[in-house]
Amino acid sequence: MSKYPDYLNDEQIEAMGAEIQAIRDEVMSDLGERDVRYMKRVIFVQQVFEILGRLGIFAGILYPVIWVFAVISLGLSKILENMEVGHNIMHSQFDWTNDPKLKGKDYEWDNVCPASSWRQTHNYMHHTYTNIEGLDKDLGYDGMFRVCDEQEWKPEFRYQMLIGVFIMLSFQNAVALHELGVDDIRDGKRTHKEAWHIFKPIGWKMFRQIMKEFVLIPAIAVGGAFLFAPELMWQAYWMTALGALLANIIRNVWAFLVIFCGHFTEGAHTFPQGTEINETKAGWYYRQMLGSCNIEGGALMNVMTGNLSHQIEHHLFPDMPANRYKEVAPKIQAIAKKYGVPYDTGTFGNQLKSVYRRLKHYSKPPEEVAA
Amino acid sequence: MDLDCEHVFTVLHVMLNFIINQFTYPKTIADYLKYFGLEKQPKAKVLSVDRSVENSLSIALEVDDKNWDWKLYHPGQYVMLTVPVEGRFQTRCFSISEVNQANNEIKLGIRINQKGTVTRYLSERLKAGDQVEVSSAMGEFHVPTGAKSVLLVAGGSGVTPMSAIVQAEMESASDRHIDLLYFSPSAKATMQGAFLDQYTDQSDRFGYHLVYTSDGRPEMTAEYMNSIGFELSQYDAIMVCGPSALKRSVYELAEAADLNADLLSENFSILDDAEEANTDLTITFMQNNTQVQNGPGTLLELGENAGVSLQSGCRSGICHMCSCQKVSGTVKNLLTGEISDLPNETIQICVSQALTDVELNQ
Repeated sequence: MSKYPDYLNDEQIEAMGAEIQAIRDEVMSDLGERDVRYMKRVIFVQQVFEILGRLGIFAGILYPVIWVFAVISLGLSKILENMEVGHNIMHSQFDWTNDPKLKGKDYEWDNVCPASSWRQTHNYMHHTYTNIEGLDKDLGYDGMFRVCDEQEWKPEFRYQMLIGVFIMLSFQNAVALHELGVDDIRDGKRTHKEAWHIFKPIGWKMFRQIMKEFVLIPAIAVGGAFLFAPELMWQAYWMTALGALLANIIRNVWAFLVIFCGHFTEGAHTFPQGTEINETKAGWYYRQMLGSCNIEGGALMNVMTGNLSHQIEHHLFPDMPANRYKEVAPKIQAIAKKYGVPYDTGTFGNQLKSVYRRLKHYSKPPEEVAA
Repeated sequence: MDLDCEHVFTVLHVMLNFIINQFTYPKTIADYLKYFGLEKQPKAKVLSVDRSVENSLSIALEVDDKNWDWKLYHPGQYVMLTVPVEGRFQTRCFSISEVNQANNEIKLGIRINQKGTVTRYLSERLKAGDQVEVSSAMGEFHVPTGAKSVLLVAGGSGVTPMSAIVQAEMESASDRHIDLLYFSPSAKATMQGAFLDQYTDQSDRFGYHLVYTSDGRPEMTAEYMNSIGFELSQYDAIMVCGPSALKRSVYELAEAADLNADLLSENFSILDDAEEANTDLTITFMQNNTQVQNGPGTLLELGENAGVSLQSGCRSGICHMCSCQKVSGTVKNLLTGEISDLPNETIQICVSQALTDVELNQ
């Protein structure tokens, strides 16, 4: 009896794993100049959006229409930087280029979560123990959400839809803090001293990001106003600070939605603890396929989600340059069909509705659902 | 305290950079300049590429003052050359064969390895006007100060550092005597041939003996050396560069003749020194959770052959790009012969061979 959902027996799992591995080998040996060119072009575009955004927000103090566009531009630049550039580089997808600027271990992204902490909770814990209850801290984000039967119901989960909105708006902070393990601290599995040790680099990065967004960059605008139009000094401050805040929120909301659509649709499987013991590479592939879900969309959806629109492919091949996912996706889908394994994909709207239904379902205690 | 203009400028520059980088955190201002093409990285310009000698290249480069200091250059040294091959930055070491200090020019002698990605790229794609990254001059292979008479023994492309040494010695006013014994595969494949010939007539401080190994390889004995006029007892330094077999025969010769000379050697290929690989051993690359059976080759090559993505650079133990933590096991550094048997030591996998099962946290 397999420990996995019984779409396949162990033998079939191994056979499917070998086919997936062959797809990976083919792409990885084909990496070259075009992948580097793509990433460099994305970085260039991202920086153009960022600079236009920052300058536009300054100009927007005098011309509010510009301000609106500038905030959107800065928000888009943050989405690109976090999702298509940072997330992918930090997965070591471009380490093979030997370019120090594209090196996974050295990249630091424009987000309050320190890269080192991210590599621990995301690259290691989330990608190794994907959707295993208790091991993958992204499953329910450290006890903030209840998303599967394995999680015990608690009264506060009744409000998880409401709490979800708050977490969505400040998502980068939730991501940064979830290495702390709030539920572990509450259950006494982690001492306050240990938590403080983990918090220090996170707090320092949060401080520097807040300084940049709400003190240093607004200070440029305030300084300019002081020289040329002293009556606009206060307006210069709040418009730059608010612009930065909104740009961060745009990124937070989008990242939250994309990530939830990638793992918490009704079709995404979860696994009990113990699944990871003596798991083969093929078993791991199988679990990644069952635990992730894709968003259908065109080239724009791919680039704006950092290719997490191909969450399944990303989870199978986290260190493959993400611009290749779209070419391997049809092959993976064909393999899934051949073996009769679910391949969860849908439009953004449909996946979002599915996530909503799932969160709603698990916010109720099991006995209420049964009744 | 003596504060000159340059110091003040440097301090201001550092402070300004620090302040600007708070505004661009977590990026630096250099990150932005790079992608707008405004980065000021020191690069060397390719002046010419000479492909006239069989299976080899001679590249003339104009080096950048910013990372090149002629005062730190010693004839016999090499540089690390970095070029983008199919999207990958690849670094290799090449000896300097000639210099023209007045024009900031260095020449690199390169033997083309048909299986090597970098030398093949250089031979097929490099052209005058290209920009390449070049390190400062490196290495300990140069004439010991105080040596009065030096014997240079070169095999194949091992002549490149010798050529730079001969040039420097003949163009300086020293009274040092230099003899060069050069084993070349054939007349067509002789590197630096005409360049070296010019010095034989110019000065009696330079003795030059060229052997084509296609005509048969002479045995290195004291009698043979005497027969070509290179009497061993006169030398207080012997420098050898070429295949390991050549190095070994020179060392044996020096030992047999009981010489009191300094012996220096430069290795191009480290694998010649590898021990027979024990195929019962297992190498574990922990980050990828991949296990590889030991075989001939370095840990780096074994990993790459198994599809593990590993950082590497010069592949000859110089740049430390490939350095990683060896969690357990014993390895031998093929370059130095050093044995690393303690857990959690940092090793260079491009020059290491496993002696026991090894776990690497790459």
